[in-house]
Amino acid sequence: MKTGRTFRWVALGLLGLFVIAPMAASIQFSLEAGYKGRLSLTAYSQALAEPGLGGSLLTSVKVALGAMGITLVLLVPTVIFVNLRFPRWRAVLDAISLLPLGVPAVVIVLGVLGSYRSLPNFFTGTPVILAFIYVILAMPYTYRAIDSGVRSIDLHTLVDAGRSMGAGWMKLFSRVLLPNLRSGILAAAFLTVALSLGEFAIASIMGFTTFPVWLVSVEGNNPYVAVALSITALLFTWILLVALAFAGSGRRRRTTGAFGVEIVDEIEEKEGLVPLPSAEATT
Amino acid sequence: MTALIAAAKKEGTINLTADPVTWANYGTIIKDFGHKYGLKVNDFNPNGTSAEELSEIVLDKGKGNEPDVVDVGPSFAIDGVHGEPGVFKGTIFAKYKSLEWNEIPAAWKNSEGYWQYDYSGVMAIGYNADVIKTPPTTWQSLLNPEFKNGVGLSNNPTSSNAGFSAVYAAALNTGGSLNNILPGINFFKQLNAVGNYNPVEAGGAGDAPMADKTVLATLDWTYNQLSWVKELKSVGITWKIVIPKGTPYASYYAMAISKYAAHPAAARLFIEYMFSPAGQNLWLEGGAVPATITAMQKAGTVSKAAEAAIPKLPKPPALATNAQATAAKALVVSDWASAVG
Amino acid sequence: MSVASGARVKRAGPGTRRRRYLSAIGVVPFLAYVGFFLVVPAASVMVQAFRDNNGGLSLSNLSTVLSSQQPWLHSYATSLELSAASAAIAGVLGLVGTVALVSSPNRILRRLVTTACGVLANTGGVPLAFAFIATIGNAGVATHLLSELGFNPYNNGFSLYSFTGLVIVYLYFLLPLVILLMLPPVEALRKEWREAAATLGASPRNYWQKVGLPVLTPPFIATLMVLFMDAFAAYATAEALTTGSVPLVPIEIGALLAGNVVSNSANLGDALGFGMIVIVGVAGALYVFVQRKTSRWLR
Repeated sequence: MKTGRTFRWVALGLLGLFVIAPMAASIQFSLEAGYKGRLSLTAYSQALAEPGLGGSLLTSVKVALGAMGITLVLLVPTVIFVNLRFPRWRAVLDAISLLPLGVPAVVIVLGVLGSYRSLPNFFTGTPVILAFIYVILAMPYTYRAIDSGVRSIDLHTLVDAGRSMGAGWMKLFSRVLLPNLRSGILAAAFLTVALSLGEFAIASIMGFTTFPVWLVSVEGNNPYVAVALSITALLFTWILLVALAFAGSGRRRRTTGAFGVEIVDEIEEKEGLVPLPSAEATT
Repeated sequence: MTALIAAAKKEGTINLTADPVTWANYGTIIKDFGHKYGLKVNDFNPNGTSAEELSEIVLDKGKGNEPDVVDVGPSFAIDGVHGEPGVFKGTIFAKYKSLEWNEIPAAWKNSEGYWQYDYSGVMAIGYNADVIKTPPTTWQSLLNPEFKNGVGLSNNPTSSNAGFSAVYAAALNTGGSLNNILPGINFFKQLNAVGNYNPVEAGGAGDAPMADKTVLATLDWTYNQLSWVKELKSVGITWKIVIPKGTPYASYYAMAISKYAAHPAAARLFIEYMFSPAGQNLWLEGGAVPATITAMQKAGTVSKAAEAAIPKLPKPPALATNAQATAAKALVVSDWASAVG
Repeated sequence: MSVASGARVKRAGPGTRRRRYLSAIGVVPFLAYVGFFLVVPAASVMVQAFRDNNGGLSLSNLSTVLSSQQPWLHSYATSLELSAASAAIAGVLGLVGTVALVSSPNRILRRLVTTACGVLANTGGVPLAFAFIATIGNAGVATHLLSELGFNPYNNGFSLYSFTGLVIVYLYFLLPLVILLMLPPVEALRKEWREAAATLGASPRNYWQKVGLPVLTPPFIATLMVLFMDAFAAYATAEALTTGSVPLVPIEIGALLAGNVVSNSANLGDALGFGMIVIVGVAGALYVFVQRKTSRWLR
């Protein structure tokens, strides 16, 4: 798609400015640490020296990965299924996926704790329950991201082509559908992990020491440390997501399946724009 | 008492909740209590609210993080005995009278022993003395142009006791009373109209807005202002406290033991400790006036140094009854947004 | 676009219908999950909206919420306005940004941007509020710069701590969300279509008008819905910036259910929450209606 180069650079430039300016102001504040004119990293070294950092970080990462796993396992098949078999109900499920945004977090916590008191402690008394709740919190975004990805590929043609070549559902799913849905799935993964690493209110009320909860508990001592910690948290989340992104991209693989078709699993340059297998089938 | 200490040590842990480390010296209190009796002190949901504390008692039973002791606002303490409509029914506190029970005035405790007031603060103005050269000694002085965009509250008056109390304190000194908080709301309306009111969380979420001079003066409890003085000094800002002329407004918090405490002995030991002169002085050192102060002054057990650090009051502070406070709160909840929006 | 397997082919026989319903089992896990972790917990709390403070069934809370003497209707209005404004602005600006992004083929840049969007879409609360206070607050860096140049926005009617300020701050987490959600549909706009349109004599404007925008409309509407609800539910950021001076429903629910001031109005708080659910329900129904209309030609 050729759009004017000037348009592209102006748009991205303005966007970049809007995103970076507040971050830069925060970072500048955190570097000041009270001494006019002298920048220093004391706020950061103080922040990272506080006890409990490692444990809370580990808890958060585990919860985040758990929530991500549950999200993908739950939503990807559902979205594919709905788009394939019940397209008339797509909009209804969309609307259902938005429900979590209509329920305040405090109501979800009170409700879960109140309704499921009799469940085993392993479930409700450990951070495991957080992963399950975060799946719900992220659902409005993750459902949309996966659905957006699914609707942007030609699902029926892919499925028909694969089935007519004799592929079973599992092969179809893993070799044909998933690679084509990479950008949607990655977006959903990013959103879940970032949400989990940043969620504070529910984790705090339930008494779990996740990374955001730990952050708030140590920041009371110094305003610069508080800001430094929140910036560090954002940076850490970003690094984790980048690692996820690179892990989620496989190598270019050419496989000759039982039905004699060369399937290209990953086109490195054009994420999300994948030629249809039917266009490349050689029988 | 020795039996209690032994039983508590056997339990080994105590669960506290909603006690921020910079609030009324809780950081030191937690460390000291843990050291003195060799107990592990947990403080879950440290920035939690009184409502959350009560919910935690009810909903976290058996989870390992259920609170043993809570420190809540007076209306919440009353709810803990009679039930909170829409949340839980009946009593969720356990009765316990500490050794110092008789030193607490009758109006400040539940006669059966379910709760007692523990410490109080007075509404004070804190201000950046590097920028504001003339101390704001009256409520009216906050309307001066030097405070443009610079006067903040600790937090939302409809959900924060410190925020609400600032409005109540203003009412007492602008023609209102404990039965009439409307003038207080109107004072902030006026403050907003002249452009001096800054609605950011100035204190409730830390003191960053004070550190970067977004806010030049805040209204908060004396014990919080004292902790801002310390913190801001370490980053080069001179923060000073003033109790404005007129009638000061004070409010107590109440301590209670959970009926479902997982560590009942440790909970009772904590109460004993906090109401003994040692514990009461720890609160005093944080700038919070403890409930047994009159008895301690008579007995000479009060810490003179800590007492001296607390700003002197122009006259005895006003304390609202639960009925007065409830009515005032209802008005603030319905009128705040239209007043300062 | 394929027609064969998607179209509803009328076939005779009762067995087919039963098979259809059975195959609906594919959505059961999703519905069960939402039911277990959202509907049941929320309903168990919301049911209190219909009880008065003595525990009896009552519509008094609902009538309080709907009363014109009370501030709640105004809060709903403000919340809706704020959500609509931020969603609309974020949607349009975000779409422009997405189009600009897609034209760049650099894979590493794309990865960095999408991961950054994932992070930024989840920013909020005190850290975000403070970042903006430090930038365009009354003592912010940008404010200071502008004042040096002779124009102090705060002396000319602007304030970060207002409705307008909230819209600007909300953009910070809504824009990245738009980019993440609209990347697949925008990417799917085949280069080939653009070229085909050009060979048929269509100008870029024609292309966008007749092909590009109509194809993007259903996913764009879906994205707008998410933005709208996201902004509606946002709580911590508004609280940190305005502490109740801009009346918003989630903040008020928090004050009544989980605050330090009011301890006798939990049922009213639940009624306010019930109102939010009603709004989601209405918005959802509208959404289904609009989507079915605009997707028609694509199916």
